[in-house]
Amino acid sequence: MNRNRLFNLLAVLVMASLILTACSTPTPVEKIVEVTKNVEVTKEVEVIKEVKVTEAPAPKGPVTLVIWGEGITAGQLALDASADAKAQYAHMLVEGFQKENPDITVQFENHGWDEELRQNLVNAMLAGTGPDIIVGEGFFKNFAALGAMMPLQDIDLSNAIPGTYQGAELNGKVYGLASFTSVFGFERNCDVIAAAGLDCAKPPTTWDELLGQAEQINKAGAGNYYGYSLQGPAGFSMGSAFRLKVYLLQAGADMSKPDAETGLDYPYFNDPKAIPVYEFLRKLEKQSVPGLAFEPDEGKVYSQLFLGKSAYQMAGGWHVQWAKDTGCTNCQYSAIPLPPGGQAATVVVANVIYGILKTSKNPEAALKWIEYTQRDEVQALVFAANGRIPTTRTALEALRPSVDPATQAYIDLLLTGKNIQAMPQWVKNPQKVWQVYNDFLIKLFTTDTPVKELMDEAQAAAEEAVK
Amino acid sequence: MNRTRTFLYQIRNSPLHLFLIVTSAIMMYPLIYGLFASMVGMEEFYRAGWMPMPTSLNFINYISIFDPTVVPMMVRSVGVTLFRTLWYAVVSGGSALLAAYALARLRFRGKEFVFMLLLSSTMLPGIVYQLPIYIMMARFPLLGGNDIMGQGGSGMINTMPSLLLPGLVAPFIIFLLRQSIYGIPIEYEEAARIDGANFLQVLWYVYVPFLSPVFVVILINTFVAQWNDYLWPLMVVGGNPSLLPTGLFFQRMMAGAIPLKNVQVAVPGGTITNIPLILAIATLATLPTVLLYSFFQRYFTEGMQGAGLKG
Amino acid sequence: MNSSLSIQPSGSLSLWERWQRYLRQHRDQTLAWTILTPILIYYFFFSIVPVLTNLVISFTDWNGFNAFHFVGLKNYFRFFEDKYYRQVFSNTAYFAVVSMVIGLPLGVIVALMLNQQIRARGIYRTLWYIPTVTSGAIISQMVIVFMAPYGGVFNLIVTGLGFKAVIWQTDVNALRNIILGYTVWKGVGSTIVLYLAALQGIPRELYEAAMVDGAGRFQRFWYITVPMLTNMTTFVFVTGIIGGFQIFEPIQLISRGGPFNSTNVVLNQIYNDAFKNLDFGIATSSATILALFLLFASMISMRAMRQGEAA
Repeated sequence: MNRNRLFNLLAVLVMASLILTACSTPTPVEKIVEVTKNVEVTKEVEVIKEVKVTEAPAPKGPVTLVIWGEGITAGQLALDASADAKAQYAHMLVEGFQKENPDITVQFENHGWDEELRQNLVNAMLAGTGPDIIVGEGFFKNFAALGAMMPLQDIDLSNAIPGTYQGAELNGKVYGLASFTSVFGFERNCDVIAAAGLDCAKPPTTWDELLGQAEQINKAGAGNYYGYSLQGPAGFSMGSAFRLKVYLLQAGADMSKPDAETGLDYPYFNDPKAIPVYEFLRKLEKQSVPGLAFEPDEGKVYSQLFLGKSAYQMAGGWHVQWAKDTGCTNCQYSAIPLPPGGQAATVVVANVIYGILKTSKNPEAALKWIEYTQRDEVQALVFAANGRIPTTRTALEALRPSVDPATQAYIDLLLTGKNIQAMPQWVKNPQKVWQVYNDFLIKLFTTDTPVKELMDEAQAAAEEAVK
Repeated sequence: MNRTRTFLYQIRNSPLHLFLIVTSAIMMYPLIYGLFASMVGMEEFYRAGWMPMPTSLNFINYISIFDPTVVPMMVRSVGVTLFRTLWYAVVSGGSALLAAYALARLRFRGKEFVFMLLLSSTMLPGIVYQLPIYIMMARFPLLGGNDIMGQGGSGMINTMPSLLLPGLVAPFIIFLLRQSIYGIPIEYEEAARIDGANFLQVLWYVYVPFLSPVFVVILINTFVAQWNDYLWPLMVVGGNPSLLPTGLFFQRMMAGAIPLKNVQVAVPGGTITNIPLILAIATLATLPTVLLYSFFQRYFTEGMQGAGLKG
Repeated sequence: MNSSLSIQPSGSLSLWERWQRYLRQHRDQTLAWTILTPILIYYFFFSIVPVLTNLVISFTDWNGFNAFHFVGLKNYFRFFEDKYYRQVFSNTAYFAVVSMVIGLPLGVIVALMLNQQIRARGIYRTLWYIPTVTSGAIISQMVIVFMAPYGGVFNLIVTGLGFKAVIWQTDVNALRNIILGYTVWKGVGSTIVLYLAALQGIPRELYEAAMVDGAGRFQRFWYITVPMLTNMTTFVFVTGIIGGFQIFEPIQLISRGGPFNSTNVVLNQIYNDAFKNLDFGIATSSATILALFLLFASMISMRAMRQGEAA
């Protein structure tokens, strides 16, 4: 391979340089180095070296399986197992697996989530320091296309819900399976709705009803509270695109189409079916908490509803637990309002996929871990622990009777497998394509330019970006 | 009479003082805002206007930072930074002194060429070096699990040497020291030579004392640079939590990537980011360089003048 | 190691003795190359080899993982043909030039003020310099807090002054001004310190002589101070342009190049292309273009300075 030869050449050159420097350092200079370098320095070098040696995991006997986990599970491992449900889940996950496989030690590391995680992963993979198992939701197809992932061969997919591993499926091969997932629902603060003189028992079921109610609430609130919380293009998490995609899917529109050549996603920002969706969003933004669409802190955006500043928002499944934990007693949930002639749809979110890197030194152990996360008894822990929902058919069927109707509706969506999708993974230059989409949203919310015009402009820019 | 004159002098200068006080206050505003905001509670912070005023010395946020689980990591991070500072100050300072002496005082062919060659690298952006050196570090043979061809492992990535090897020859320090050496009368060196001093003795007993203010500047600058270093550590040790230098460590802490309690705070009706705590981390991370510079700023200007940056 | 050379005596002097005599006669030469050889070898591997590696990768389509193909100058053409990269480059030039146009005169004015015999000038000098020693990453993280549309301090000030609240993240001009403000804030301190050093290096006798000749305040400033500052101005200008074109942390952390690519700069796009878009070809060719441009720009300005001096 060309690249390898180049690297080798460079590496050999560097090594030669060090040797040369060591040999050719003539005597007078050596003396000076001794004069200027005091003895303490050399001692410190040794101390640090020793520390490193003792810390480096010795590759002897039992296997250490390194997993770069998402923040929730990895972070909770540091806590006492008796602390709360989340910590219990993390401990049971690891301890249960280790009990079954006494020769495997699981080492969970927290390297962030979303953009930060992707960044750390790319860095590690370029350096060859990647873990055995990576966790994520938005980059498996990209990494698989680069040849960095190991396909899961001979794994039983019959019980897994296709929508949950769609984000890790490329050209017929599956590169990862989700351990838990979540879907979007519709959240409302009844205190605000009641204050505006509306009946909280009748949440809006269509886009028009939502717009009408939001307008009324805005008028009644007179600047104290507003109709809706819309997350916009600011902030660099994917939070806003996720929720906008739900509205697009409801109307039968999309933001991407499959790329025949690579199997990845090609931008499709000028889908004619999306015009009414963006027109609706533009109107909805006018009824939202002012400026919130441009607030970069996602937590701040969605906590406005809890603070009584807004009436409605689209919420991930984990909001239920979040609201309960923080004492929002009057927060309720319903199905997301539909467009005229639209169909219920959703996007899998916080969909935690585990996949194996090609550079993994313990692929068998890694595969065992992935199969372990799909077991019924492990899947059964999920909902109680962190408000996410399971990803296997049997676990979903077992959970369904015990949850609220809104969650039931989404479990049904998952089980029937209709209208459920993952976020696109662009063929090329993801940073540039998402920037184009963000810019499109900024123009959508800050100008009056016709939507069609903006969409065509965005499509042209996106096509330029993936050239 | 003298007092009257001073008084008159100050009166005449008062518009100047007024201007300087106002502009200095503007310059310090973000840092003072951070300091004050770090000493108020969350509720006070959200009620406060353009300048939160702490009603008492409230160190609750700082106490949160010094959490027993975080302190060992912080100590390590500071240790790594101090070690790097010492290493770079000694090695790049020492090699720069030798090079500067050669380039200032010795006569040999190719002197100007060597000087321009060294200096030319300060005109290139650092990114030209960073990506390739990163690859060289990762593919270094026989280290970190690599085979003789540099494949299979991670080389020096995530280990201390990757933080210590690049940038040991510092052209700008060579430039600074060379300028300073020009400012030292050559008669001192000649006198020492007549007394039988060899090259090293001349350097140590004649030049080093003269250059000590410049070395103070170099030491402070090295410390500031190492304390704030961000991009290179992010690339080479971002995956090893035990080797994070302070710039990266505190930035990660502010961004919530280091497990610190109370960054997300439950308030009635929601969870919000504890901005006073975030600003306390920022203040804590900024304080060492600011204090060090404030204490040594006299040396700093002297060092600059000593370096012959006189126009 | 030289002892290996003492092989056979020939003629009246042994080779060893001749060598010794040669060394004595060429003492400077020997010493200089003894000092410089290791430094230059290090420099070769850590400065020249990386630049060449960078150049080689810039002719390929390497994505960081797979084997690459040489694609000739394609990446360079892409940089110049693509509107996106042209915009990135002009943004960078805008930030570098405008922050220079604001920062340089401001630095000169404040340096002139602080060069007066006024009270507490050490304190002012410290206050103006402190931003320079802060960490770019941490200050950027603070600016994000300040920019929050809700309760962010920038908006509190803007509304307090009677203007409408600004949505900083989507307002092209507002965001550009924040970046400029950050750059000037962080950079002006070193300009001041450099000019102060230059001002204090001007011999007092010049002013005294001019006063004897009856030159007024303004004349002394114009005919003595200004010419004595020319060298420093060139230095500040060249280093300022080189630094200004490498603005990174505020873009990466505050604006991420948006909105509409209007704050994106070369270094940020290089980082994005390498680590997010996995396109090392365009990343390294952008780096090469930036390097060539900066080399060219600093040579032009140094030549202009030299001509100005000669005139």
